[in-house]
Amino acid sequence: MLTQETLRPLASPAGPDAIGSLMVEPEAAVSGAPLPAPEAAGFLLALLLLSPKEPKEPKGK
Amino acid sequence: MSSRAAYAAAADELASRVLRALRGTEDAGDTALVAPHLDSAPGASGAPDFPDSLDSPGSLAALAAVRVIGADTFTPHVLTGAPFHASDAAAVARAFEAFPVPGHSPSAPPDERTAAWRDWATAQLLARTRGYAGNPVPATLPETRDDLTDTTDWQRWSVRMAQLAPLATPVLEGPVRDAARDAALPLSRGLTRSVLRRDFPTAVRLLRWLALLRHDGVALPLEPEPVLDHIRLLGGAGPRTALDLAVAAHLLTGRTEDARTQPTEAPA
Repeated sequence: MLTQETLRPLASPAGPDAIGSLMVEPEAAVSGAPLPAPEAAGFLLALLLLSPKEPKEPKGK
Repeated sequence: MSSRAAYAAAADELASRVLRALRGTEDAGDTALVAPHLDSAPGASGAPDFPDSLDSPGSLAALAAVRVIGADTFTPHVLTGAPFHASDAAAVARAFEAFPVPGHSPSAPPDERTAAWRDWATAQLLARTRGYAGNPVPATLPETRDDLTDTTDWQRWSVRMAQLAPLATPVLEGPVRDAARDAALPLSRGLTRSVLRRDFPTAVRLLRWLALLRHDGVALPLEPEPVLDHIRLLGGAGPRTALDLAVAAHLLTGRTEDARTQPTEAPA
């Protein structure tokens, strides 16, 4: 009588590729200057845009 | 979550575990290091030798993390003399069985050759584990047509050496370390470039090589200590980078980074 053996794969085919990419990480892209509080960048930009205009020299003088 | 993201998270978890053992905040001398990492994976059966433990994605990710961290898993043992338990060695061997080393032809792409060198380093350290004789990986030099001594393109070369940082450990000799020994200037250039690019993970990996050269008594064209402080302040965020930083600090000072900041007991 023939017996049937079920072979279970140990890992998915993508596993070794994922391991390889984690072992050989490329260098990071050049990043901008660090901000003390990156989450405040939008707030600072809004302040810049909403700031009052420069005062003009009064006419007639 | 993709396989890569799951493996990366597990690698970070294992790096944190190794780092705690290196700093001495975990009872590294009394308890195993890698085996509990596999046991604590989501869905693990609690027995790394049990075949069904591979059924869960969490267990697979934990085994993949052992392959990714590789030779750095042995860092507490190599640098501080903490014992590497037989159950840990069995867990590393299990990772090689789950994710076998791919065959590499001598003319394989550089990334595959780099991975082959890292696997070689892990196999070397596993073969040296006392009381363990079940190494599933031959610890022979990879058959690669690598010219690691050609530093003409020092930018590309230094990135490759950064990827080979787990080999920057005092107990491993070989062609990669020989190439680093003769290349203090290209390594320093690469480190400076990485710091200027704010690529701190690459920078700290290159710093490991320079720290090893200092450890070996090689004259360096730059002072590595201020770079260490700079990276510690700005770039030591992730667990794997923190582990590289701790190894570099240990090679430079003979102590792990926390040892310098821990308060000392006042004399009576």
